[in-house]
Amino acid sequence: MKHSVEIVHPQLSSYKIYVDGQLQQENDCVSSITLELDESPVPYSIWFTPWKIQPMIRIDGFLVDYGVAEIDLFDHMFKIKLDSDFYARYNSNELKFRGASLDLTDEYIYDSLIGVGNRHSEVVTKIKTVLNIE
Amino acid sequence: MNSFLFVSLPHIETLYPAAAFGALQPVVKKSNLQMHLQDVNVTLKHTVSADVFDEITNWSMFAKHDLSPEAEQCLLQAFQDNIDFTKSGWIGISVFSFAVARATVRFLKWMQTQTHNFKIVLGGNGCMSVLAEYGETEFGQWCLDQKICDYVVFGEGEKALENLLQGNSDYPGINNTNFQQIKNLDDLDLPDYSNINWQQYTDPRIMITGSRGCVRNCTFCDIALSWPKFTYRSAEKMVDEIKRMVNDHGMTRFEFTDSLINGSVKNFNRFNEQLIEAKQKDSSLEPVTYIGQFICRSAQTMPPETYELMHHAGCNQITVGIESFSERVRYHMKKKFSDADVDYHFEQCARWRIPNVILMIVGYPTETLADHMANIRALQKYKTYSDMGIIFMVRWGFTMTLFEGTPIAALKDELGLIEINQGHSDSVFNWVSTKNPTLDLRERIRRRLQLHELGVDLGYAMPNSKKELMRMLEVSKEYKGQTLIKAVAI
Repeated sequence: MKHSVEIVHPQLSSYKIYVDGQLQQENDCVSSITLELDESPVPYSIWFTPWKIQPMIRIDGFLVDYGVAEIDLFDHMFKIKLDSDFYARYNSNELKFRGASLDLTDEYIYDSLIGVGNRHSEVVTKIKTVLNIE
Repeated sequence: MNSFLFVSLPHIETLYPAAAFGALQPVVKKSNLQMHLQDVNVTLKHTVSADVFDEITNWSMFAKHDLSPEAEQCLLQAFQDNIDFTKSGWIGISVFSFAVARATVRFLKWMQTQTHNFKIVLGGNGCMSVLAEYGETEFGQWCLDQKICDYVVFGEGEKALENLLQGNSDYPGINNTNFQQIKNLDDLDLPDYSNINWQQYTDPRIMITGSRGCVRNCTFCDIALSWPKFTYRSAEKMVDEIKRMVNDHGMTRFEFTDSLINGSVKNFNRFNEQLIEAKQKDSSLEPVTYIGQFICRSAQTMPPETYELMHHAGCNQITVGIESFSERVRYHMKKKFSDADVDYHFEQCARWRIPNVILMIVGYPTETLADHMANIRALQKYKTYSDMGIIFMVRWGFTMTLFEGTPIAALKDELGLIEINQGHSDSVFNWVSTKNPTLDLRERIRRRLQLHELGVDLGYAMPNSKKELMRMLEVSKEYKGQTLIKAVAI
C-alpha cells in the first residue's frame, strides 16, 4: 500500500527522502511536493530546505497534527513512520489527546465527552427485550 | 430596585455561561441596574448526583412525566440558593428553548410562594414554543395568561428589554408576538460578560453572535419562528468583539451562537480574513480559536479557499447537520446538499484539519429501509474520517421526534402523520406515517440501535449514548405494538 505525503511550506525549495540512512529520492520543489511512499515499518526521514521551517504535512489528504502522527521534527528534516498501523495509531493518539484533561475512569465523563467503544450492552439488551427486537 | 437577576434554568448547557447574559448586560446597565448571573443549571450540576441531574434533564426535555420527590427537592433548593430575596428589581428568565419551559413554570410557581420585590420578565426562543402541556399556545403567552410572570419579551431581547426597563411596555414584542426582528445587528452594543464567575464553568468560552436566523428552512427546525429573516453582522464588528473579549477577559476560545456561521459565505470569508490579519498584527490574538454550527454546501458556493481561511483563522470545530446520508431524505428535509457535497465537505475538512460534530436524525418520516442502509454504508465509507478525528463525533439523537411549530407540523396531511399519545405530546416520539407505515417507533429504535452498534464497532465517537439509550428505553416501554399502529393507520 502507498501513502500520499504532501509537504507544504511557502519557502520549501528542495527535499530528500532517506530510509534506513539510504537516500531514496531527492529533488527541488516550489512551496509544496506530493510524494507517493510505500508503507514501511522503517521510518522515513524527509529532509527539506530551507532549514527551520515547519511544513504542513498531509497524509492521504489529511492534514496531520505532528504530535498525534508521532512526527519528529528537526531543524532540517522530519521523521514519520508510515507502517500498516499508521491510521490505528493516529486514532489511538487522537483519542488519548482528546481525553488528556479528563478523568476518563469516570464512566459519566467518558460517555459524555468521548463516547468511543462503549456498547452499553445492558441498556441495548433491555430495549431489544421490551420491543422484541432480535 | 437596583438588581437584575438573570436566571438560567434547566435545561441548557452547563459548560459555559449563556450568551444572552452578555448580550443583555449592556442594556441592563443603561437602566442603572446591577446584573447578576444566577445559573440554576450550574448549581444543580455541582450539587446533585448525575442520576438526579439526568432525571431533571429528561423531565425538562419532556421525555419523563414527573420528577421524583428527591429531584423536586433538589430543584427547589437550587432555586432557593440562587435567589437573594434581600435584593429587589427584576428577575429575567432565559427561556432558551422549549426544554426550559417546565423548569420555568416550576420556578414561577415557587416564586409565587415567596415574598419578594421583583418584577419577572421572560425572554428567549422558548417563549414562542407552542406546547400542548401549556395550552397549545405560545409558552410565553400561557405564562402571561396564568399571571405567573409580569412580562414576556417575544423575539429578540435587546431593544425590547431596553424599552421595558425604561418604562415603555408598549414596544413591539413585549407581551405580544408582534415583535420586530432587529434589522441591523451592527447597531447592538458589544456583549458584556463582566461580573461572571468563570470558575464555576468547566469548559468556559465566550459566546459570540455573527448572525441570526437561517438561509434554509429545514422541515424539522423551528428557528424561523424567532428569526424569520437571516441577518448577519459585519466581519469587522465580530473581530472587534473578539479583540475586546481577549483584552477584557483573557478568553481566547469562542463559540458562535449562530444557526450557521457560513450563511453568507462572502461575509464569513471576510471575517476569517480579518481575524487572520488581526492575529498577524497582535500576538495576543494568536491563540484565538472558534467553533460554530455550519451548513454543508457545494464546491460552487463554498470554494476550498473558505476552508483554508477557516483553518488559518483558528476554526477548530464545526457542528454540521448532515441529518441523513440518504440524499432522498435530505431532499425532503430541504437540506439542499448532495452526496457529492458531503464528500467534498469532508475532504476539505480533512485537508484543513477541521473536526466535525455531525448531527443525525434517525427515522425521518420518509426514511425507508434503503435510506437507512445509506446511513449504514456511510458509516463504513467515512470510517477513516472518524479515525483521523475529522468526524469528531456523531450525534444520533433519540430518533425523529415531532414538535409543534416546526415546518413538518404543516406537512402532517402530506405525510399522513399520526401522533400516538404517550402522555407527553410536546415531544412526540411515538408517531406513525400512513405513507410509510412500517416505520413505527419500534422500527425507528431498531435502526437507531443498529447504527449505535455499528458505530461502536467502527470506532466512532458517539458521546451521550448512554443517556440517549436510557431515554429510548423509557420511550420503548410505551410502545403499544403493531396492532395499535394498524388500527390507527386505518
